[in-house]
Amino acid sequence: MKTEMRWHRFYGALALLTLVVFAVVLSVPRDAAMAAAKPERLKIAIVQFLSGAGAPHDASAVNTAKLLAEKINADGGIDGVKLKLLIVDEAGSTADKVTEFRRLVQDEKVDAVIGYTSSSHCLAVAPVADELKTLTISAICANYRLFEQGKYKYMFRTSAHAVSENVSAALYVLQMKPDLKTIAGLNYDYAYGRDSWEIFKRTILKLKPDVKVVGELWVKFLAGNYSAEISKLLSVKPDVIHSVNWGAGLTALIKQGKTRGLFDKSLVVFTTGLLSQAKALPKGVAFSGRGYHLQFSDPRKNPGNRAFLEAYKAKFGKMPDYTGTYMAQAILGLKAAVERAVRIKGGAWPTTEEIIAAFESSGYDTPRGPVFIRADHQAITDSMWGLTSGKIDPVFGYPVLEKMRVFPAVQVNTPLGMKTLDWIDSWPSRK
Amino acid sequence: MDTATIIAVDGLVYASWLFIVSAGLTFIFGVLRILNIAHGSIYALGAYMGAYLGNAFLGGRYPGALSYVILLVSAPLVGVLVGPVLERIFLRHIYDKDEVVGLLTTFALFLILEDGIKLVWGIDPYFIDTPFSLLGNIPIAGISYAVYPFVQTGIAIVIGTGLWLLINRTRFGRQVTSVIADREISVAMGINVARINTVAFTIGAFLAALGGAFAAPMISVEPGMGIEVIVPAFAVVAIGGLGSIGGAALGCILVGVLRAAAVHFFPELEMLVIYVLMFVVLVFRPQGFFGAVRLRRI
Repeated sequence: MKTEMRWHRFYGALALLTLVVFAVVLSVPRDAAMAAAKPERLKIAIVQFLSGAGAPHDASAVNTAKLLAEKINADGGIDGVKLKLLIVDEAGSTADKVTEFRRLVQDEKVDAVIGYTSSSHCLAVAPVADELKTLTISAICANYRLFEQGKYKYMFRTSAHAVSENVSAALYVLQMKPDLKTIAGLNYDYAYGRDSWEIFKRTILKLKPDVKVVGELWVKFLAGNYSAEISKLLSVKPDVIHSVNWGAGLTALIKQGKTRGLFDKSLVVFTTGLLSQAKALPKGVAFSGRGYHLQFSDPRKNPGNRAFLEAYKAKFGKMPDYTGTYMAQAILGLKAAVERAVRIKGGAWPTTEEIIAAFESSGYDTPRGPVFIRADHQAITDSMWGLTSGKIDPVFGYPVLEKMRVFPAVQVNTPLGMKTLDWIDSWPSRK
Repeated sequence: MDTATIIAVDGLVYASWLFIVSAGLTFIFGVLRILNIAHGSIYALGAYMGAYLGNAFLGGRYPGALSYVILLVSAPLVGVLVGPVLERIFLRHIYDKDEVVGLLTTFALFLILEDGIKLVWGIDPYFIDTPFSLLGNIPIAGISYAVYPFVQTGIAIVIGTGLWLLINRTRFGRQVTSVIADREISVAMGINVARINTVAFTIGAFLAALGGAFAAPMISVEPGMGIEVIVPAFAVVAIGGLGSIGGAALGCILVGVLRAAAVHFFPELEMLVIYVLMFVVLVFRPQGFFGAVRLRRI
């Protein structure tokens, strides 16, 4: 009995000792992801859809990441440090993505993460970025709540989101159809669809209160069968139809709507789409493609955009979709922030926190034009809209938009510190 | 403009698309007693094959009638390639096992086929436009309808009639009925159940591929398209009764019309309607409309 008790006490002591050792090891604060000494390589994880429905959509983003990394390395890297990309598939559940983020930081030891198209992913990863103190840039995610609902130190978004897209959509529609009487929505039933329609609707109703909403249709995410929805819209004949549908669902909607004359009866407004989809549209459809970077800024006048488009075409044989431009905004933003931080530090390599400080409230140039990163880490840019013309640009081969309008950033972005819906509600009503 | 007619026509269009796939799903369950989740990826395979053949051999331009032939050929091609392979290699080992094993196996096959599609055809979208745009539109009840979906209606009617004739008027059909009723007795009576299983699964696969091939002209053929059809197909099969073709037809029409009515009057409920219907049917009649009440054998 006594011997047994001695063994028990021994194992108990061993367990306690192990626990203490673990506690000590884990309590030691981990270094920030980027060491202050100049690294050999800047390892960047690019997390975008390589499979599934998002793959065609993100292909330009992945291509652009490779193109720009090559170019930056050919020019000597960022302050002499070359980039090494780790391209990861974003497909998978949100929980998987969070686990994978941890793996990228802790096992692969990446210095920064760029990516996350899906809203649920970018929202889930933001707090983990703060926890693991890793600079994370969302390139494409459009959910407007990212920085409205939370403050994140290590998360940035270098592109526009649902607010500027849908406020500018409403402003454009009111310019194109000043006698507008009725509007309807046909959107995917998920956060981006719901939020976008809400913002668009509120903006229209605020600026023209006598407009009637004659249909609020919701379809399953990426739905391909629009027979009943198109029938409903053809019956009620709204002046304007709003849709943020993208991907395979948008292609199906364009196909089925075109045959049935949906675009003849109403001004249809698509906030997003790929070049292939813009080409498929008939004349007179309001299109932004999240800021149609092929015409704005005009590559004939903007040498930076021209160089980017030509380099992309030379390497990949076609023009980039908007996701390519958005990835360029992310990578060039990171580059500008690091270079600025190096200058501020007098040539020494900055820590992650110093890069973040340099990134905040800074501006940099991109193929699309200037991007300004606000103190809350959200990018602020102008928005543009146009109507499809059916013509193809003779030099670059992209579908040409006409009646283009550019909306200044200050007109279409929620002021810092305000909630979007409150901001829209606070505008004076026009009679 | 007659809203009731519009709803009926929209319902018919949706039901036609769904019936071709659900008929195969319920047939497979009736004979093999397996819930084939891989049905969704076979549907996708049919679409890919149709779009691929249309573009590969004819460069996307062909006389109208030929495009329909391409679609009609893709379906049996996929059915014959995939059906016997899946059945013989994977499914034949799990017939006597619990139904959950069947579900898991076909789910695994679904995932494998999805990745297989990506390996073969990549991630870019495929299009086969001619069959759809060729037929133009037609005014019904004051609005314009595309004519093409009515081709799917025609196919659905042919499939439904064909299956009925197959089961009720052929020797093979009599054997299938026997296997559905009692597999063990059928074996004892000398019916080659293994062959019946393979043929039945191949027929089901053919129908899934046919549904996919004829859906392709209306959509963009892309990775992940199989998922869109499998959930409503399952709901419809549960509503109609597992193993009943007539039940599947009734389920499709009910779901199609209710969905269309929801879109016109209560758009918020459109996606909920199919599940509410399934819930109501299963609460009051758990075996579905025409499903057989199965006795549990001890």
